[in-house]
Amino acid sequence: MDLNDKKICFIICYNEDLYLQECLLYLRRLHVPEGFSTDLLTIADAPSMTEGYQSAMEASDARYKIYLHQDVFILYPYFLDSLIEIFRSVPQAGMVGMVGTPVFPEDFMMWSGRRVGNFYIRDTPPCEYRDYRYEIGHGLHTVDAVDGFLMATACDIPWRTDLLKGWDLYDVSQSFEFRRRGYKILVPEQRLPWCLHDDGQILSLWDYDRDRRICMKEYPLSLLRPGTH
Amino acid sequence: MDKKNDTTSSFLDTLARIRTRFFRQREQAVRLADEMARRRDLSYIPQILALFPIGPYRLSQLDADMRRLLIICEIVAAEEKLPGGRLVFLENAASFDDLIWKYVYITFLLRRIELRLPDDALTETAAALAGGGISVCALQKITECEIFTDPEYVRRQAMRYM
Repeated sequence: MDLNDKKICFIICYNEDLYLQECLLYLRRLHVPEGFSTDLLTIADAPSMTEGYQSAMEASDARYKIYLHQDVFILYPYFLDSLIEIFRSVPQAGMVGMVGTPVFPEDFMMWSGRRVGNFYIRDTPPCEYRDYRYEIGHGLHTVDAVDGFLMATACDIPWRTDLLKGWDLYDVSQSFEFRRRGYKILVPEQRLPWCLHDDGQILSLWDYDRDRRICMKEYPLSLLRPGTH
Repeated sequence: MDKKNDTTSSFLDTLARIRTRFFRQREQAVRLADEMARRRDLSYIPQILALFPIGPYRLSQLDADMRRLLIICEIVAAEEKLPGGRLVFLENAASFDDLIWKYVYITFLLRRIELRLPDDALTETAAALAGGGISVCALQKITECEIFTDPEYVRRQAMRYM
C-alpha cells in the first residue's frame, strides 16, 4: 500500500467505551499540522494487542500511525506538530515513544532499567502548556525500546502476531523489530509531560513471564547490541 | 544471574505461585461486591476485605479494579456515617462492573478539572457534580487517591459545582 505522507492515524485497541470516549476528548483538542489530515481506527475487543494493531495497520494508508492505549490522554496541544518535526529531522527514525529505555535490561522488564522521557505521575506540578512548544534542541533520546502506552511510527513493520498472543511485551517486540531493520527509536525530552497514562496505578503482570521468556529467546540482547552484553 | 534478575524472577515466581488463589479470591470479591451493590448492603464489606490478603500481597496491590473496589468500600462506609446515611455511590449501580464504571467516570470528570481543560469540556463535570450523584465522601476519597498534581485544587473547584 502506498502511504500518504500527509496523513496521521490514531489506532486504539479498547474494551471499554468509557475509556475510549475520554481518550478521544483529548485527541479532538490537538492541533493538526498544516496540510495534514487525521484519521482514527478503533479496534474493540481485539484477540491480542499484536493482532489488533496489525489489522489496523493494514487498514490505514497513513504514513504516520500513533498506537495508543485507551487510557492515555494526550495533553500537549502541539503533540502532532512536534512528532512530525522529529520524524522529519531524523530520517532514520522509525518510531517515537514518550518513555523508553536507552539500555534494555537483561531481565526484559522495561521498568527495571533506566528510563528516559516523561509522563504525568503523582506529584507532577500543574502544567501550563500555553507557553510550551517543543523544539528539537530540547533533546532526543535514542532508546532500545519504548513503553507501549504510546508508540508513533513513520513506517509499517508487521507486528509479531505469531509470537505474542496477549497484552504484554508487544511494545518491546515491535521496538526490536524496528531496530532489526535499522531504524532508530527516539524519545523526545519533554520539559512538560505530553501524556497522562491513567492506568489505575497497578500493572497486570499475570501473563508477563510467559511473554518475557518468548521475547528473551527471540531477541537476544547480544545480537541487538553487539559488544555491550 | 545478577541481583536484579533474582528480584524479577522472585516476583514473577510469587505471582505464578499465587495465581490460582488470586483469581479465585478476586472472583469471590466481585461476587460479594455484586451483592453489596444489588442489595445496597454494607455488611458485605468485611467479607470483601477478608479476601484481600494473598501471600505477601493484597488483591489491591495486584489488580487495578481491586484497588478501586477497596476505595469504593471506604467511600460507602464514609457515606453511611454521614447524617441521613445516604449511600450515594451505590445509587444506580447494580453490580461490581457498575461500581467500577462509576468510579472511573468520576475520576475522569475530576481529571478534566485537574488538567485545566477549558469550560466546554467541564460542562459534563459541572452537571454531574451539581446533580447530586457524587457525594462529598467520593469527591474527597477519589481526589486523594487518583489526582496526580493538586488534589486540594480539584476538590475546591469541584465543590463550587456541588
